[in-house]
Amino acid sequence: MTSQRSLSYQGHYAGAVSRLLSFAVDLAVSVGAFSLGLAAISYGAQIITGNLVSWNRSSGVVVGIFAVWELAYFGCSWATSGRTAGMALFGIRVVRGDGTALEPGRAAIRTIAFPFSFLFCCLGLFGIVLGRENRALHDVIAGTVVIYEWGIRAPRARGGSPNPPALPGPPSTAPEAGA
Amino acid sequence: MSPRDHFRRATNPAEALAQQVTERVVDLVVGALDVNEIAARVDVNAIIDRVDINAVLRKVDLNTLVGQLDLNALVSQVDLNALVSQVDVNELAQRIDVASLVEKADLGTIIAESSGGIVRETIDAVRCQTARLDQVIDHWVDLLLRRKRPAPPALRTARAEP
Repeated sequence: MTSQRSLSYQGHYAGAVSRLLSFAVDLAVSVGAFSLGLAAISYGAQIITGNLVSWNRSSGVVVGIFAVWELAYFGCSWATSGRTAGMALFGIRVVRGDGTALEPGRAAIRTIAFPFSFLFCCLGLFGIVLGRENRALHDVIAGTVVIYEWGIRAPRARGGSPNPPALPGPPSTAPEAGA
Repeated sequence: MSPRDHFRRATNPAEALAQQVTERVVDLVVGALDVNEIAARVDVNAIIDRVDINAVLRKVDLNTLVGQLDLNALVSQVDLNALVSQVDVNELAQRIDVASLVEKADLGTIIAESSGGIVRETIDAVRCQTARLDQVIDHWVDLLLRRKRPAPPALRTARAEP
């Protein structure tokens, strides 16, 4: 029953709630990973130098490294699979405006444009709620949209075919029909 | 009165007398007989050997016989507690090869499949709920702005293909 309902969402534009929740998960994951990384570096430095190493979180260097890390986290995720960990959890994916797979160049543009959506009280994110295609500023700049797409697998018997059935989602190799 | 009636009137007292004499004689003979001694002389095994029990059983309609039995009444008379108390459950349990049973059941696979299925169903349900919330928000925004939503990219791509 749930799978039938899930199928009806596939390929449609993802809305504000899914995107906000996935962003919250991504933020938690990326900040957690960054904190772990800092702790690991501190521990390693302490072993090598013998002195206690602590990070000033408000220093420019740390903030700069954090910004680069965040951009790398989102950029690499979008470029490789079109989705971050949070997006994978909520079953959404970044694709091109015509529904085809996102290429690394466009993912890089989206990543660079991403911070601009947060300027002026997150004005660039209003498009997710108000826009017809739920596109934020960075989506418009990169020519991308976010859609629902999670791998629904039909129930199969033990030892059955491992190939999932075709989904109504966007094909990854279809010719571009215009962004 | 016919000659036949005359004859019957004459023989009736004789018949009654003969009846009384016969009864008296039978009583005397039965009283004199030792039934136990007679029964002891009878070879019961020889009689049983002569009887074809299989032929007798073939003539018996067991279905009709069983149909007439009131099984509920029969079972209600059985003291199940007394019956169960006589069963040595420990000995019975010792005879069961649990390891072989577990091996045949492949519990690991069953647990992995069921837990994986539960997780998948839960995530699927969460995704559907958030998607539904998205739709509600989109619906209200569309109503406020009085507009129609365009087709999703998947459908547009499908239409663009030859």
